[in-house]
Amino acid sequence: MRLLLVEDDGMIAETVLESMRREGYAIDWAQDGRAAELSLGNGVYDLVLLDLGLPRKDGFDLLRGYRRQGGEAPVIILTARDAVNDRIRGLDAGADDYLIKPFDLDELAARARALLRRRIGQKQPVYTHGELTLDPAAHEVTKGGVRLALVPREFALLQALIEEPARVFTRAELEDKLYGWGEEVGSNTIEVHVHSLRRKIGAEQVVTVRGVGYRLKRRE
Amino acid sequence: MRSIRRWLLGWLICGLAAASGIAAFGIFHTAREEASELFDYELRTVALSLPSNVEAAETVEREDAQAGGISDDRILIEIWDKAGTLVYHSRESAVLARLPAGIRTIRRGEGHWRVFGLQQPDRFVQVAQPVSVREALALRLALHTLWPLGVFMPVTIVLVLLVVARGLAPIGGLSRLLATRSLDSLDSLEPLRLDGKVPIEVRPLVEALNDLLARLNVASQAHRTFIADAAHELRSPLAALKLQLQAATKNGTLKDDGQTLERIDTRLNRVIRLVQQLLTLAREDAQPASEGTSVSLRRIGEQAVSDFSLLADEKQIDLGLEFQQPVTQEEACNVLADPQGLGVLLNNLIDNAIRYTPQGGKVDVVLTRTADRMGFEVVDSGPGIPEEELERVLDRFYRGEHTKGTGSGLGLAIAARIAQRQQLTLSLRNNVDAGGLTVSVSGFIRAAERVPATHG
Repeated sequence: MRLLLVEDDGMIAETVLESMRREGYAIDWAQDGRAAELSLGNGVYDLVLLDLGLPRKDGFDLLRGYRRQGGEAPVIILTARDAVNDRIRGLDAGADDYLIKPFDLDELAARARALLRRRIGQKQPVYTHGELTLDPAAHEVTKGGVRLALVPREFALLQALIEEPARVFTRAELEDKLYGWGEEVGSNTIEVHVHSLRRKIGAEQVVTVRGVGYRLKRRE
Repeated sequence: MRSIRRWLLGWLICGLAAASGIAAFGIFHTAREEASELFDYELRTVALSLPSNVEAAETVEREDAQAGGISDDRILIEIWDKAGTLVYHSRESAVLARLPAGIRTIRRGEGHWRVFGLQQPDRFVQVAQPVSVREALALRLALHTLWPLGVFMPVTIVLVLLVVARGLAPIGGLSRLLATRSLDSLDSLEPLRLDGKVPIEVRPLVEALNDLLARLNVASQAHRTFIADAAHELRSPLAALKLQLQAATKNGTLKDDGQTLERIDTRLNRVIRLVQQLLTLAREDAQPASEGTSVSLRRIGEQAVSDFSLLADEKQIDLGLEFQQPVTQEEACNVLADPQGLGVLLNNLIDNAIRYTPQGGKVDVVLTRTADRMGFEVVDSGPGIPEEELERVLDRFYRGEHTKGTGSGLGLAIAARIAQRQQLTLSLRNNVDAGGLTVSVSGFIRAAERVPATHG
């Protein structure tokens, strides 16, 4: 795996380089827009970490040029610009993800992993959350290594929750995930499924957010 | 204070009155003199036109008396013959002695007489008239010439009032235009429009004002940009610092009992948050008042509660969304608002509530509705705010005297600013029975309720 970091701030670059190397990636550093353009021309990179405010060539222009020339590596924008418009502009220019400074090193590593996984086609990873694991391909759920027998709706429910463990899902969103268009949904169906799922994986695993919906238990 | 209007009115009206007075005096005197000359001429005419024989003179006088001519003017006629005997006099009572020929005024008894003597070949004719009669007649004539002036004065005063009011109208308009500018809206520093309606006398004033406004605007812009730029520039070094601290902690370059590093990290996060809040505030300050689109208040509430769910969980705070009658859980609660600002507003309130609520406490986001407006409240079970500080906590950088939390002192100020920008009412009150603080935001205009898509 070869990564390119485009960042003019030496202090930030240094830490990101070191941390990504520790994660086991080969990572190069381009300090300005021109240098980055040259490096990207090689076409050897699997992932690009891109700062927007660059000397000599703006990050947006660089990204647009790269995509126009057929560059396919996923790009994560790292920037201090957090206005929604900038975000939209960045994603429209062809970025795959957008991280705002100051960001967390672990988060950067996680997002890089997710993008690289998608790139090599491993679309369905095995999700783990605390003691729980869920393998979508094998359709298997374990808790503390023990296999649990879930009915399809319970499995779909847990999959939805575990894919985005920090997110709170409203009942309506879960209904959309569990039922197709035109399927009859009773008024408290989601509650019923949550109840039966809790019985199997442990009541504490699914947290009720008052007035909103459900999410998974916070990871310790 | 001096009033241009009063000054103009005072001088114009007094000046006109004085001028009219002098004119009236002049006209009156001229008229009287002319009348006097006219009477002299009448006397002369009467004397000259008397028939040569006395009987005929009597007839003339009688006819004239019937017609109300000579006797009305109380003209006395006397005739002497060559020998100097008085052969005729028109009235018994008043008899004047014979005087030399020519015109003169004499005094006799009570009154004055105007006398005209005429030497004719065979007799001497003397015609006289009391001055009092002449005066009375002259006065009447002179007064008659004054009536146009009497009409002229009131008409002129009304005209002056109208013209002055009209002439000063542009100045009044200018003051009103400036007064109606709200302090807060972004156009408060926009230049005044200089169109064809602005009179050339007021134009320099408007131009000077515009110049001042423009300079103020530049200063205010510079102030805003400075905060935004400073916050933005602080971000990169802070990001680097945070990353380095994180990396150093991880790879073991920095070693201690764990507490110092943790404390540094906490402090660093606080500074990062402060910078973030400054940037948010600068951005909100730069935003003009917004029209708003239809957004679901329930959706915004759900989103905000979801975003803070894990943070609340960490502090073992029970965070939830509630619906106060008559709002029901099925309602979308659509309102007209700026969804982005609303999100920031609610996030700041929830963040604040969680910060100041102790472990095991409770924070509720409550959707409310009155007759035609919607609103929400963020209710916490924290210590509340002393009554005397309730007003001040909305000030920028104000942090309560006894607060222990890690706030930036900007959260509520940002919320207040957003509320103000969207014409909402933000108010704080301490909960009466359970303790804790309620921040209520109200005044949302309801938008049409869209029927949510149902399944099946």
